[in-house]
Amino acid sequence: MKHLDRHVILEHTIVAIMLLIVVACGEKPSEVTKVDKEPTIYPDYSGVTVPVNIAPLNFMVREDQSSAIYVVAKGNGVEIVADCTREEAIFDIRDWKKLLSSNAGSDITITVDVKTEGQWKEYKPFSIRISSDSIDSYLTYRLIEPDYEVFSRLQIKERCVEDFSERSICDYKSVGNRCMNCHTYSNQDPNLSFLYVRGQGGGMMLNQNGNIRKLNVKAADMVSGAVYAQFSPNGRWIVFSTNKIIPAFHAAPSKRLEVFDTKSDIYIADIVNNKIISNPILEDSTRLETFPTFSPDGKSIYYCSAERLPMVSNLDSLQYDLCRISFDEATGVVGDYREVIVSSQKNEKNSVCHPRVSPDGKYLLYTVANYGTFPIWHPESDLQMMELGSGETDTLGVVNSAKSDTYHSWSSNSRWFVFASKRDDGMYGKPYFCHVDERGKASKPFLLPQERATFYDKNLKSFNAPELGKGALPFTAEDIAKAFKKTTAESFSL
Amino acid sequence: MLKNKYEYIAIGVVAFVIIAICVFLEVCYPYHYYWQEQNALFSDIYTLFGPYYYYKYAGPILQMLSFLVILLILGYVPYIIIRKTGKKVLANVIITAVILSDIYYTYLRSPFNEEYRPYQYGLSHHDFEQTLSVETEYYFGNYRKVIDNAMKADNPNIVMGFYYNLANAQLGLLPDNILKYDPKELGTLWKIGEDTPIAVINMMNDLYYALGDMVYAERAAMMSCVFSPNNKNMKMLKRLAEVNLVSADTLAAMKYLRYLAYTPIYSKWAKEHTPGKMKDGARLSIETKRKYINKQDTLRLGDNCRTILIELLESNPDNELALDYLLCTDLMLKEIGTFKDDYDHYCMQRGNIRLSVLYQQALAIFLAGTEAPKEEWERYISMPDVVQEFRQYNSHRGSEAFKGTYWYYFDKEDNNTKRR
Repeated sequence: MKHLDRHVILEHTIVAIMLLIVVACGEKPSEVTKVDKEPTIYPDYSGVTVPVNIAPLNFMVREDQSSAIYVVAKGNGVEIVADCTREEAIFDIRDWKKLLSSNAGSDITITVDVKTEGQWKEYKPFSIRISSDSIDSYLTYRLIEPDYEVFSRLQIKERCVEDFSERSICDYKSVGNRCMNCHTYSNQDPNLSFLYVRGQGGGMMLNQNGNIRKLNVKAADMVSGAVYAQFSPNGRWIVFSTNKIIPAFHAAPSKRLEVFDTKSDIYIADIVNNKIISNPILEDSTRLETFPTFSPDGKSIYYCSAERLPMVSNLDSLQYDLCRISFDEATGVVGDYREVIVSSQKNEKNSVCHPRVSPDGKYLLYTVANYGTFPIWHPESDLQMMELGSGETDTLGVVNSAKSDTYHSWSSNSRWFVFASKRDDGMYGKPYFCHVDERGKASKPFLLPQERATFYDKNLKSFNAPELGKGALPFTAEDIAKAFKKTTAESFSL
Repeated sequence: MLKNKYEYIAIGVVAFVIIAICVFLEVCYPYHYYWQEQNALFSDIYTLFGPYYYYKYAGPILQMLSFLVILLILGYVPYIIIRKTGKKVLANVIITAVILSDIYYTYLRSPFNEEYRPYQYGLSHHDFEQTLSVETEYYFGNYRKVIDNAMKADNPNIVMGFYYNLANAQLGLLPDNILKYDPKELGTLWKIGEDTPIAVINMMNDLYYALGDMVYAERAAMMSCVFSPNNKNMKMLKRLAEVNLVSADTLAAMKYLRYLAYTPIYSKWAKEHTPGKMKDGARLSIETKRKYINKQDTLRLGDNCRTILIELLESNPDNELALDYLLCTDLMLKEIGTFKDDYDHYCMQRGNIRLSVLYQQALAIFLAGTEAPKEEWERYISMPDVVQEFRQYNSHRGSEAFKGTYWYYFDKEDNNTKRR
C-alpha cells in the first residue's frame, strides 16, 4: 500500500469538505429565467400567518430533477439566505429570529430559485405574514401509528415551537409499552396537567407543579376510566367522559376505520377530595354523552350528546348535538337543564365533536362530521367556529381541507389554535396552527416546522391530540415512570 | 505486510465503508426485520453453508464478509502490537475481546437465545431457511418456485402450507392441489390482533391483498409495522403503497412512495409506481388488481373471512381467487351443506362453473347424502369418472388407495385448518 502523507490527507479532506459546502449551499443563481408561478414547496408556507416567535419555517422544493436550490427571505431591510441542499431550505435560527422580530406585524417574502438541467429559474416570490401575536411556546402530542386499533412504542412528546427541541414526557420504554393518552393542560398552564397511562399499574398521572399523583378516576359502575377530559378554570374539577368504544372497519377502502360508542356518560372529578360527581342529564341511559369541556368562566360545561341507537345498523344516524349545562365551580353543583347550542338536525354536517372554548370566552371551536364520534378517520371532518356572543358560525373555509381536520386546542392568548390535520396524505395527522385575529378572522394554517424539511416525508407517526402550553412542563418521563411503578393509585368514590 | 499507521487506517476506512454499505442494505432489505429482531448487526455466519437466498441477495453476503473483515483486522492487530512493541498484555486483552465477541455472536444464534426468530417458531436453522425461501419466492411472484420449494421441504409447516395454497390459488390451481399438501393452511380462519405473531400478520396481509380486500390488507400491513422493530417494516410500507394505489387513494399512496423513494432498494420501484409517471407494466398490474377490490359499503366488527370473501364476490363475481378460497374453506371445514349453498349461489346461479375434481367429489358427497335424484346428479356432476370412482370408494370406504381424494379427506383425515 502506498505511503500516504498526513498533510496530503488533511489538505484533501479540507478541500473536499469545502467543495461539498460550495456545491450544497453556496451556489448562487446566474442567468436566471423568471417563472410566473409560485414554487411547489412542502410544507406549504405560502400565504400563511405565523407567530413572531415561531421556529424557522424550513421547507423543501418538490421539483423533479432539481440539482440545486437557492432561497432568500427578506423584509424590512433584513435579508437572510437559507442553507440549501438539493431540495431543502434550512434557515439559521438566529438569522430567522432577527428577520421575524424586524417584521412583526408585516410580511416577509421568500424567493426560490431552482436549478434544473444546468439552468436556473426564479419562481414568483411568496409572502408570509408575521403576526405580533405570540403563540404558546410548547406543544405536547402523542406519537402513534395511524391505525389506533393496536399500538406499540407510544410516546407523548413536548416540543418547543420556538426552536426544534423535543423531549418525551411519557415513554413506552418506562411504562411497560402501555397505551397512553392525551396530555391535557389546565388553562395552558404547565404546572397543572394530566396524562393517562392505561392498563395495570396505570391511571391518570396528575402533574401539580411537577409532583405526580396517580389517580384512579373510576367508580365501580362506570363503563370505563376517563377517556376525554378537561380541567375546570380553577383547577379543582376535571370533567370527563367514560366511553364503551367499539372499533370497526368499513369495507370501502376510502372509509377505512370507524370507532363508535355503545355507551358513554359524563362525570366530574373533584381532585381535592377525590370524589366523583354524577348528574342524571350527563348519564342519561337513553343518550350518549361525550367530549366535555368547561367554559373559561367555569359556569358551564359544553359537551356532545346523541340519541343512543342500536349499532351498527344505525351508525350513520349517530348524530351528536353540541350541548351546554350549567356548573357551579364553587360547589360542584351541575345544572338540571340541557341546552342545545348546535343541533345536529340543523347542521349540514350533522355530528359535532370536540368543543373547545377560547380562553377569552369569545369563540367556541368544534369539529363537524357526517356522523359518529371519531372524526380522525372521517375525511369530511371540518372545524367550525362559533362566536358565542352573536351565535354566528364561521365554517372556516380557509382553514379546512378535503381530509380530516380535528382535535384542536387554543393558545392562552386566544389568538392561535392548533389542530390535527390529515390534509397531506389522509393518513397521518400533523399539527397545523391557525391565527385568529382580533375580529375573529382565521388565516391560512401552517404546519409545525421541523429542523429538516424532509422530516414529514420520513415520519411514520401521527401527531395525535396536540395541546399548547405556556411553558415547559416541570416533570420528565422518568417522573411518570416512577409514579407508574412505585405509586398506588388514589381511588375516587361517587 | 503493512508498514505504517496510515495503512492500518486505510484498511479501517475500507472496513468501515463495507460495514456502512451492509448496514445500509440491512435497513432497506425486504427481510431486514429478521435481522433487527435478532438485535444483531451481522447475519448468521454459518448459514453460509446452506442458505437458500444468499446466492440471490447481496446484503447478507456483504454483512457476513464485513464480519470476517473485522475479525481479520482485530486478529491482526495483536500480532502487530507484539511485533512492534512487545506489549503482550494489551495484545491478549484484544484477543480476549475478539473471542468474547465471537462467543456472544454465536450465542445470539444459538438455541439458548430464545429471542432468535427460528427458535421462537420452533424451527431449526435449516427449516427456517426453507420457510424463508417459500415466503421470499411468493414476495417476488415466483409462484411455481413457491410450490416447488414447499414440496421439497423436509419439515413442512404452516407458513409453507399457507404459501403453497396461496401460490396455487394465484395460478388458479387451488382446488386441484390443496389436498396434495400438509398442513392444509388457507389462513381464512385466522384472526389477527395484538397477540398475533408478526409472521401470521404478514401472511394475512398477503392473503387479503391477493383476495382484493384493501382495507384488511392495509390493516394487516399497519399492524405489521406497529409490531416491527422501530415500527418500520419496509416490505409492509411497500405494500401500503400498493394498497393505496389499488384503492386509487393517490395522496396516501404518495406518502409511502415518497418514503420508499428515500431508500436505495425501493426508490426505483417507487418511481415506477408514482401516479402520473407510472410505467405501463405497473399501471396494468394496479388496474387489474383494482377490478377485484371490495366495493361494498358495510361495516365489519371483526375479521371474519367468510364475510370478506362474500363481499368480494358480490363486488366482482369474476374474482376466482376469492371463490376458490370460499369453497375450499367450506371443504376443509367439511361443511358440505355450506359448500353446496355457496357453489349454487356463486357458480350454478351465475353460470360460473368451477369444474374441478375436488368440487365434483364434494358435490357427490352432498348428492349421495341427500339421496338426490338422477337429474340432480346429471346437473352437478360433469365428470363421469367422478361417479364411477365414488362408487368404487363407497365399496372400499376409507381405503388408503383413495388417499388424495376429497372422500378420503372427508372420512379419514383431520381437519387441520385451524382457527388461530
